[in-house]
Amino acid sequence: MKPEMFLSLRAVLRFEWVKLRGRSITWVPFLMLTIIVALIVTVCHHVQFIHAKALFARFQVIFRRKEEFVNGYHMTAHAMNPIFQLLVPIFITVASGLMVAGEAEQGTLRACLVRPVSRRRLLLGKFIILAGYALAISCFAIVLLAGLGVLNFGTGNLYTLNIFFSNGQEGVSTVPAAEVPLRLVMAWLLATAGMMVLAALALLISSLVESTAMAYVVTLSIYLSFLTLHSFPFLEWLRPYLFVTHMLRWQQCFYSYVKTGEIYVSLVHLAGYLTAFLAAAVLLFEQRDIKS
Amino acid sequence: MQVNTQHSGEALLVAENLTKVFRRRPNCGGALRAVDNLSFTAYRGDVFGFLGPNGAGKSTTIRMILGLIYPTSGRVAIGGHTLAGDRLSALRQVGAFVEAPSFYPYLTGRKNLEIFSWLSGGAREAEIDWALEMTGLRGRELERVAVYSHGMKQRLGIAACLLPRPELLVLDEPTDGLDPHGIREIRELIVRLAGEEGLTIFLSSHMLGEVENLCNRIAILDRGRLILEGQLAELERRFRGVELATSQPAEAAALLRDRFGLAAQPGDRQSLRVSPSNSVDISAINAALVQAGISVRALAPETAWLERLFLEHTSSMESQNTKSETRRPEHET
Repeated sequence: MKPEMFLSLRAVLRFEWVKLRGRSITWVPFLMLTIIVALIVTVCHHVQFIHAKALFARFQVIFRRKEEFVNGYHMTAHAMNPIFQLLVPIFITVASGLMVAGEAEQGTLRACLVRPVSRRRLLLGKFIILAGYALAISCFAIVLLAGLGVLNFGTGNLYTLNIFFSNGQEGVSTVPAAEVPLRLVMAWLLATAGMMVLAALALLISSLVESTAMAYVVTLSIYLSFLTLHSFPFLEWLRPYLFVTHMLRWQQCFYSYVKTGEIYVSLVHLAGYLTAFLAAAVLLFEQRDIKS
Repeated sequence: MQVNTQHSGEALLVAENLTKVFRRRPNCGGALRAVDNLSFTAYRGDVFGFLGPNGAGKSTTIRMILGLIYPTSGRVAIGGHTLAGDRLSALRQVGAFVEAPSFYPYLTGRKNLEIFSWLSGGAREAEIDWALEMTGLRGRELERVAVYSHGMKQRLGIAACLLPRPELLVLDEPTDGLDPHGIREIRELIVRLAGEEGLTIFLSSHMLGEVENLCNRIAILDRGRLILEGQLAELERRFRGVELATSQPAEAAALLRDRFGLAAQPGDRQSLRVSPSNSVDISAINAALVQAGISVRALAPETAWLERLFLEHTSSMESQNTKSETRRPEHET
């Protein structure tokens, strides 16, 4: 990369960061996550994991004391599912929709593009900031879940019901307490990689349409449709070809034994999807007439 | 039609045979030729007025000049750099806003100027102060743009165009939606930028008085085609007539035709508009009319000549639209 190009990319990153930081909607996900995690902790206190105990019993895993399986790690791992399958993707979609389609709608995109900055660099800058944002939201969610979970319910071995974690197998996985922090970091990084793919997809859609609402609807429709296909029990053969399958690979971090081979394969797939979505976004954005 | 395109200055903005065809669905009327083989040149130091009725293709042309829309054919060069070949070098010389200037409403005016300047290589604090001073926004720069009035946003738009200092300023309808005070402020600003700062200004407008007061060269566009291009002074010499108010318009018209060979068209309320002629001055016409016993209530250079020229040329396109290419401009080579 030429020094001039590097300087220009740095300028684009500063530009995007100041905009992202200044927008109040940027901070809404952090507030929402705080509220939701606080709610989860409160509910867990209130119901005392009775439902979870019944579920474990169903799989003939009998704990003598509730404390054996109820701990902060248990709450964190199980709460990650809805948060990373639904909530964080919505936050990422909103942020990326605002970055291109939102700016096109507002007219600020043309104000940027009449300046001597290449469209490719501008989009790349947006993606890097978006990826950083995804990383920050994911990190915040996990730190908050684990922090509040451990503070309220302590630590211990992590027992997870496999059926909740995407491999469709029944039974219970066990992760020793000492290993859980590392597993959480792995899960965070893998989940973030998945969110980056979603961010690239959202940027691609956002580059194609000129309405923010359309960008949200199309991106979420694609994501949720693929998620539905992924969850459909009779379409297991289709799963390896769906990008959401690889986005959800972080769930394997909570199995007794991490299948590193599958994780590598998913990482390669995610890298491929990311490159393809981003390349398509750049190509379309470079060729597009800015009429808004 | 081209009127005296000779110019001693250096060409700064050159558009050559620009054409833009938008593809549309057949049930929406098929392809739309928004700009058709358009060529013009703005020279360094010009205040170039780009005129045309709504839908004439002005904004599409400006978007092609700024690289927002890709031309179907033709080329644009700014300061010798073609947009297709070296877009970044071409745009480094330009400050522009298209339609309305847009900003991030949650940031202050100053922060908006600062961050937009980053995309053009950055501006020093002193340069930002200068732009704020020029546009009269000093003292309001730390307020969020969300609370700015329309006029302040227009001025902030011009301030943003000035950072870092460009060679060419492209302003699309800069007085659109402003009250008379706002219009006057923007006009004074444009005069200052062109005069004191020596910037070349490409001004798109359909406000003819504005163009007449500010510009030294104009181009008139209609239905995507160039109708007229030239120096305003030369156009005025050729097309500006004389308005004659008299109680005997028929006699006056006959006298002017017989004595001076001038054509006179009836105007409003017992007035005549006399076509211009180099060889006859107003005082001679006045003397002849008085000698013939025709009472002259008023005799003065035509005031709305540019408006008449604009309306004549743009409306005549409708009737001649399907005829041959007689209205197609002949461009400089």
